[in-house]
Amino acid sequence: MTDVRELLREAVEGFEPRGDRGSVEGRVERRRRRRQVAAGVVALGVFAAGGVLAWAALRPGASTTAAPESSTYVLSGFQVRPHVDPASGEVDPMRADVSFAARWSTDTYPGVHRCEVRILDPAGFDVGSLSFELSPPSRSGSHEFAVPIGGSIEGTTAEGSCDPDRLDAPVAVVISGERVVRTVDGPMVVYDAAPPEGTLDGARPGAQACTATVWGDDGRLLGTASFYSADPSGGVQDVDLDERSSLAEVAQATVTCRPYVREDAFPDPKPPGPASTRSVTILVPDVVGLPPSEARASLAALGLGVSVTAAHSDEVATGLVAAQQPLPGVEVSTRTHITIEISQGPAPIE
Amino acid sequence: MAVLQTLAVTDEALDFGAFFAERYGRLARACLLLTGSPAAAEDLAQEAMARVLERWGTVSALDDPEGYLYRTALNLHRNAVRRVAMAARRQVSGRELSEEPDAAERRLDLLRAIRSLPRTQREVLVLVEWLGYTAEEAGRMLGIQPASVRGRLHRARKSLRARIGGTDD
Repeated sequence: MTDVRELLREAVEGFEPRGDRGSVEGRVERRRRRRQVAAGVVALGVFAAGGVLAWAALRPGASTTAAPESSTYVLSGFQVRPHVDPASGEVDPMRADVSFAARWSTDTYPGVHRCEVRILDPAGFDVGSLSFELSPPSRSGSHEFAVPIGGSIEGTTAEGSCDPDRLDAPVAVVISGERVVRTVDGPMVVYDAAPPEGTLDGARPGAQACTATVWGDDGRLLGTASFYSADPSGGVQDVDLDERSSLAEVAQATVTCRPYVREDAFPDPKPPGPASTRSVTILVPDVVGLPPSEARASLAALGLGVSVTAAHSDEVATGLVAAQQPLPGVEVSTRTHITIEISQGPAPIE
Repeated sequence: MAVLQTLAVTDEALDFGAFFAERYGRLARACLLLTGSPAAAEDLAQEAMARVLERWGTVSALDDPEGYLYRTALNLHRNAVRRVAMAARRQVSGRELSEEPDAAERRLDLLRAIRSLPRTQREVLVLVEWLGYTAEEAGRMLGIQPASVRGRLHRARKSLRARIGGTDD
């Protein structure tokens, strides 16, 4: 079993699907009835062309900006294990790992926390402590520490607790520098975030609920993603493109965040800025080894122009793309042309 | 149509009940990996089964009804209008998996990490790594070339390892 398959297996373990045939038949019946009703009514599309109307329709009721109930991280399930060096796979006798689960004390999403974990020897004496930050959406953690000289981890336990480390009145981070990168997996939005002006030193915004949106040149909403952000300094977010939109149309991105408060809805998409601030680049994909038709399609989908040449290649089979310029992983502007060399097979031997 | 029906009846047609009983569990688990939430997974799995039931006459006569079922589920997932709104609610509503709390936290972390991958990567991860389809079969189901499947799979594995491997340091 590959390590990835093992992770997937672990992720679904304990899941007991409850669906039964009756509920499936019920759905079919309900759809049949709905079709009969709709046939006599002018159907109002939930998704208007602009897309923003759809958000208004889906948003669950009035959102509250009241201060959150104070929810804290509760640590449990401490385990101390020998540290295995990831590179060599060998146990390091000088280091150990302590891992734990980190539950929320209420259903409310807690903000950033500062935690302390104490390592205890078998007699219950403190032999060391670890201090670190924990923030949503984490629900577990693992830290390395040095085994006390001459000691072993046999019988070692740990305990710890966390305290909230956030402003009492949650505030929204200020977003800037939004740009979008067209990648072969879809649009990727990059942004910076910072606490608002006047934030006290040492105080920090709590977890945020954010919406990242990508737009076309004409201001059309092409795709959106909702996500939680625990790191107030910004980051990267993948966005799913609407089925009817194409990657080559993506011209700009916006991100907007608001403090996360109990089961909150995410903010509405922030409309795009003026044309002059549009910022889009393309991440060159790896098309080496693909048939030319597929390479062209992949590049065209991203909005890249393609030039084709031929070259001999010892490594790549005849007819497939042997080389590309620029290389994969390079970020380029939207007017860039990619040159692909089609393999002519190995050079003839003189 | 009438001819097809007759054939279906006399040819020991696959019974939907049996199909459902045999496939639902596996489908629901795959949907859990796709959606990241047990509630969304059941919803998606039942909806896919409902679509299949509506077309049972045709689907049961296919060579690979299960493949059709998964293609349907993937399309539904892609087009899910309410996907984002549902995910927003489910992500916070806590433990719906029933076992000891500490293991539940780990699973939620894993599901969230999987869900944070781009949808295109998640799809191939579920089809190839989890359900065991070949790159060729997955390519047919997704409408892409096997080489694209492999590329996405490679990136998916790399991303997942990076996200799971991260600690709170």
